[in-house]
Amino acid sequence: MAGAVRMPVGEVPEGAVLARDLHTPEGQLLLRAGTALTPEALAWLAEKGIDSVPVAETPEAAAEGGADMAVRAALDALAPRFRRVAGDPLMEAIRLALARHLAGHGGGEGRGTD
Amino acid sequence: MERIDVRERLQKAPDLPALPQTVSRLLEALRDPDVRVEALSEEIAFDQALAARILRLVNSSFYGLPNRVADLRQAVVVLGLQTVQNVVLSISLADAFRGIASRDFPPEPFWVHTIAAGLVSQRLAARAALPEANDAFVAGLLHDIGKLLLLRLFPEGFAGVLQAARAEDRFIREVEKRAFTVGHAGLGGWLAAEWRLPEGIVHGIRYHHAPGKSEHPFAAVVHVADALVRAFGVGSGGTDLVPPIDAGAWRRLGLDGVDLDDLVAELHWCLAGVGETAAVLFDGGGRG
Repeated sequence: MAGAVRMPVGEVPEGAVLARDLHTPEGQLLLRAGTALTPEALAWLAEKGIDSVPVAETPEAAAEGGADMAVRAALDALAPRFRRVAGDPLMEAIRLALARHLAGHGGGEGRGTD
Repeated sequence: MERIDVRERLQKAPDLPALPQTVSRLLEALRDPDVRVEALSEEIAFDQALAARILRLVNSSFYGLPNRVADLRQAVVVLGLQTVQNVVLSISLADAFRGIASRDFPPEPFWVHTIAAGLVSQRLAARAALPEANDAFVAGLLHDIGKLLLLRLFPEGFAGVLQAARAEDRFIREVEKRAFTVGHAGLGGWLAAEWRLPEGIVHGIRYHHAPGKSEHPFAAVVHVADALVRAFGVGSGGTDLVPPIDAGAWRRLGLDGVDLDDLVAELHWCLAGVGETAAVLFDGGGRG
């Protein structure tokens, strides 16, 4: 679980994201966890009588895992669509990245390699 | 085969869609961040049908809150300002072309493809720190509008192009050259210029298959966005083929050396709501 900090509505920094679902005291759901806390959102919440919100500390890193088999299957599934660009290095790299993404390997795994 | 003279036909019968007033008003207003929220709220409040569709979108399962949202301001907060403005532009522009479709070229996959291209264009423009990323959305959204014009003006000719492209496993742009004197990119760019849309939008549409011919970076933006959206397989521009990406366009957007895993994850996220957005375009009439 990512950490959450409760903050007064007036002190929420730009770019912050709601860590948990937010309800009125009566139990009505106002916003889902993950909603961007834009100035418009905060002004609206203040009008609704909300004085503090749980703000997410860091987004969770995508879990690493899965097997190469899954990537290979995804590559095969993408091949028909890419048939006119087979052998084009950039397009092959894009196909691989998509396959890794579809197989659950992509997004941040290769960060910091050069 | 004798080619159809597109220019001649345009001069004879300019019964073409007009630029919706909402779009020209909004494009102007959205340039000023101080009036953005106000301009959008006014536009939505003024148009009951638009308001109803925004509420339908926010109440769709994708954004699904357990209690129904009936408050437009809550809808704007939940969807985000950017999404609302994209939806308003998409609905207004798609309405201008309502009814132009055929069995071979149905409207829903077409608009799903173009909305996705708009979103990716906007993202690529923002990544490359280009000004007017909202215009990039419109350029992507309208990049294939020439196909709808060809279909409207020359239904049989366009049906023949589609059939040949699919039978020969070729891109539409390769086949349409044999049938028409002006292709879909040139024709779409012509309409955008007629509509007096900003130069970046005109270039984004006109040169999306030949980005090297334009000085404007939006040609590269739309070219790359179109190919990436096809790679993702979102919607359809008439065939399922992924086209090659021009190396110069890729470089121009600062994508040389980009971590492709990160880019794919970023675009996947940006494309997540496309289906729901397209679905509200087809709500309430026009298809019954």
